[in-house]
Amino acid sequence: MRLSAVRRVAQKEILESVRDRNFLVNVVFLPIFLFPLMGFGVMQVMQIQSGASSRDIAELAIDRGTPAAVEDSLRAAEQLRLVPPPSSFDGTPDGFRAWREAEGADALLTWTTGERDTARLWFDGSRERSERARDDVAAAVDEWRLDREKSELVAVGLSESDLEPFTIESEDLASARQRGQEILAAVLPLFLMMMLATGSYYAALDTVVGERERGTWETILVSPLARAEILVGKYVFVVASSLTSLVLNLLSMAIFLSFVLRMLGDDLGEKIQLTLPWSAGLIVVGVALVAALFYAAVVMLLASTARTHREGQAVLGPVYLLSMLPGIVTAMSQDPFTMKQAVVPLLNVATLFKSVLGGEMPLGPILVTIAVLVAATLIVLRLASRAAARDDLFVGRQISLKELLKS
Amino acid sequence: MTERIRVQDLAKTFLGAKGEEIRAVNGVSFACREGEVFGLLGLNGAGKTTTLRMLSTVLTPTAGTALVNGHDIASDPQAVRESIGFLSGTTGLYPRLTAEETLRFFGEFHGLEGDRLNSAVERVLETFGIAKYRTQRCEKLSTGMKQKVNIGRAVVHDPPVLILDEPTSGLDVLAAATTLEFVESCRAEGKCVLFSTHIMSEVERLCDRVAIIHEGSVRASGTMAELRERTGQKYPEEVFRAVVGNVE
Repeated sequence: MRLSAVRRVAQKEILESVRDRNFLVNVVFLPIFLFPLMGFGVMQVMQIQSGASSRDIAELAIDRGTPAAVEDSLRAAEQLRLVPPPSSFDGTPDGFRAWREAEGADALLTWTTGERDTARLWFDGSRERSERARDDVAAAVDEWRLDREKSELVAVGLSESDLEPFTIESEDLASARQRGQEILAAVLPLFLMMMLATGSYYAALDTVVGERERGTWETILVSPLARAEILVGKYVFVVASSLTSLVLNLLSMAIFLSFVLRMLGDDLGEKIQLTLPWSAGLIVVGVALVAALFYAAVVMLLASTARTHREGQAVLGPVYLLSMLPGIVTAMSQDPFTMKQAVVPLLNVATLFKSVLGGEMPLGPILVTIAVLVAATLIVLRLASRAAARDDLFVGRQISLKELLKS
Repeated sequence: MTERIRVQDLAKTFLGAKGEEIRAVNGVSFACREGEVFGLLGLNGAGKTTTLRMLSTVLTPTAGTALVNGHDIASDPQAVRESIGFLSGTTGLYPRLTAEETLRFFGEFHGLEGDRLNSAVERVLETFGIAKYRTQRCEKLSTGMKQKVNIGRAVVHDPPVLILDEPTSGLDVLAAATTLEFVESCRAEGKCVLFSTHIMSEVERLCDRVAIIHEGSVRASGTMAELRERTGQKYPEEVFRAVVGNVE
């Protein structure tokens, strides 16, 4: 195999791809703008919600029996307005609903005095304003109860400290870097897996299925390039596309997060430090490279069974989604990175990312992961090279994956 | 004249969708010389394309042998591909590459570099009148211009053998005329042209000798004059019908 021929094929693929809008959007722009767009979206939603909340004052009606201290506390609440209580209320849910619909109020506090006072709050848990009214009432009642308990203690000759015989103090030993690592470990694996998959998916569709659909397979097959040189050139392109997506996404996220931390002020910057040790960075990059080699081999093999983009999407779509599953599973799991996970391709990648980004670097599972990925890649490439010897892979009818694997 | 292509008992069997054997080419033999246009004449599905794909090493023969420019298609496919220019109605161009980039890439694939590559690309651009469109992407070119670029792509390395599979299929009148003129110029340059078609006027105009292929086998071969004499028919269509019989 001539490396110069492989390089020329890869160059041709790259030149063609950078002129394809669809490829650029998904492999270059999406990874770059994903985090800023997501961040912008979240900030917009938060702003809208906070704006709506500040305009949305909850209306609460309170019984005449309500203690004055509670009433004062509720009057002082910023997001709450006290409205007159119902002239007649039968104390049933239907009665509350009828009053709420007629008056447009959000909650009602009834207070029954006696040997033991009973405060009952009527509210609608499906409405945000009603929920807010409940929280304000709960806070006001708690404050009143505490004050009352303290004054009763004083009345019987005890001190306030007798109410709280001990205090709980907590010391967080996590450093700012550890907190940052925890955030990265929770967020990054899913995005890394997504970007590896995205880059491979679009490149394989274009370089394998697109070649067949445009009728250019025959054009390149009659050139003096060896079939292996053509396929390896294309493989290099798919791997490069996958890694490009991943690196752009990482850079974009690093810039975006540092911007967000700066925006949120110095306090947060002291609490959270988003940096990685060099060793962790090297392991993540190294494993990402091996994972890209594996993923590219799989998607190219599968894409070779499709004749059109539509067929290609039908074949690769489920694989694309499935490949993100390990990222989702890992994000939800608290399990440590063990040998069991290390032997399952892709799950091992996601788990390794999480573990290493979180500051844990177990050597055994890391080495097993790399070995498993290399072995799996070699197996898939072997299948691909056997399939490439088939005439009908390039010209003729569509062949199924089963036929391809049998060849 | 030197023999450039020799085909001996070439056969190709495909597996159908249900695993059944489909014999596309069944023991085809013929030879073509330099400075000759050899026509492979047959109906759709007769086995012309499969034969030409085997000669260009895209498909592997099931049986038989063939030498192209002295190289065996089975044992030395790369040398065969270095010797040929292949063009068919279905060989597409890369839409997002420009005309010049297409010629450069294929020139490089054929081992041309530096000044040799530059002069080969300029020669093709000038010969086919596409210099004006050199920076246009292939997807933006007219059908005729695309065909010229495609021909240029096939001959940028100046091969001694040309294999053309129904090259005028789907082309408009002007683009088809360009292709036929190109075939004539190749003969004048002493190249060996193997040309498949089912258009009788092209056979009359271009082919020095023809082989009529039907259901995977060569049924008759020779010059058109020899075939007329053998069948007693005057017009090429009648000659063809006399050889293959009435086919529904």
